[in-house]
Amino acid sequence: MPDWITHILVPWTLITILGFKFKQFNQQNAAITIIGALIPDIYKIYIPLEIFGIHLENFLNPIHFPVGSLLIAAFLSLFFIERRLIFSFLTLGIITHYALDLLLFNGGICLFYPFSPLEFQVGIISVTDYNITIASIIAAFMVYFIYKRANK
Amino acid sequence: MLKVIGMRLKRLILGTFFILLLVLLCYNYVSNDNYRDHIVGGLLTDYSENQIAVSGEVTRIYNDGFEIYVFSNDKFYRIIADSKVSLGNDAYISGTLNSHNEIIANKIVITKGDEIIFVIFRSLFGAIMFLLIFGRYWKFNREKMLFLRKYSDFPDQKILKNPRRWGHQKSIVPERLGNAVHVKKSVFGVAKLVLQTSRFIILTAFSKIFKKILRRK
Repeated sequence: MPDWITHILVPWTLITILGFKFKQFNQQNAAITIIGALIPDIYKIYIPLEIFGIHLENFLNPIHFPVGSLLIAAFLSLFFIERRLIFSFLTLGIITHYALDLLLFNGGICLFYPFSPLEFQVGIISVTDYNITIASIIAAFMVYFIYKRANK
Repeated sequence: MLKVIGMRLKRLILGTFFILLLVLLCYNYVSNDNYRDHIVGGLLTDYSENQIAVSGEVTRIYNDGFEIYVFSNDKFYRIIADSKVSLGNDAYISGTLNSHNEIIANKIVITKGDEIIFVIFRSLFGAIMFLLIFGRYWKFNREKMLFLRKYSDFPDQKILKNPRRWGHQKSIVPERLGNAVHVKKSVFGVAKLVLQTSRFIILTAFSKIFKKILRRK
């Protein structure tokens, strides 16, 4: 996975750019999209659990597949009033997460689980590569300044 | 009130259903060996049948390669490659799987422990960033078990002045589930109406009484 800075800044940048044209893409909904972008990484909870001798890596892996992430998004949207809208933004965040993860070279993602065991990846960048983080920070800063200027 | 209870029950049932479905998916993944062979489907390139992508810890080093342990399927793979590795490194390998768990590697990426720690550190920073962004725009109502938009104390004054332009319509929140601000507003509204009506009645009554007194005089 790229680090969470990238996973947070990419959807925020996307929503802010779309917000110049569509009013629904506001900063409140950007926060929801960011949650969506972090949903697939919930399965990383296995790392602290391993300290206590609980090995759940394999069991929790489907959370990092689209079907598992969408189920969690559906569950989380129950904690909001505008469920459909929130689910849509969570899904958008999930899409950005997989779009970024597909660029990685780390073993691939079962995009079509449970229908196919094939794992997919493009394999352009490594897990520890921080160039993508720097690129996302620069892009986010540029969009932020344009956003601030437009709202003056 | 009944409607609110019904909504909560519906949410509870739906939530339980989603979690059960997720647990079933997870169980299916663990119990089905097919999903743990890490067969690669080509996204940009054509894929051959035995092409796999695995990641694991380097456990042995040979002259013509090294051995890795993959935790997810509890297997050791012998990698045939020229890469320089050290024991304990994490290796990501894609290549063709031969017999006896031997992989002829096409691509190898080696990561060291400190690089992973740096990724985790960056991610922790990202987590703090997320909490700040989310906390700025949303609040949690414990009674209703719902996240609500922050309308009253929204930081951007422009949005407060012209909420509709920025997509913050008050009508988004239904009356039956309205937040504390709405309830407060409606209570104050009713109280104000009662006060104004009573003032009107009292003033009218007093004016009539005064007029009668003045006529008598």
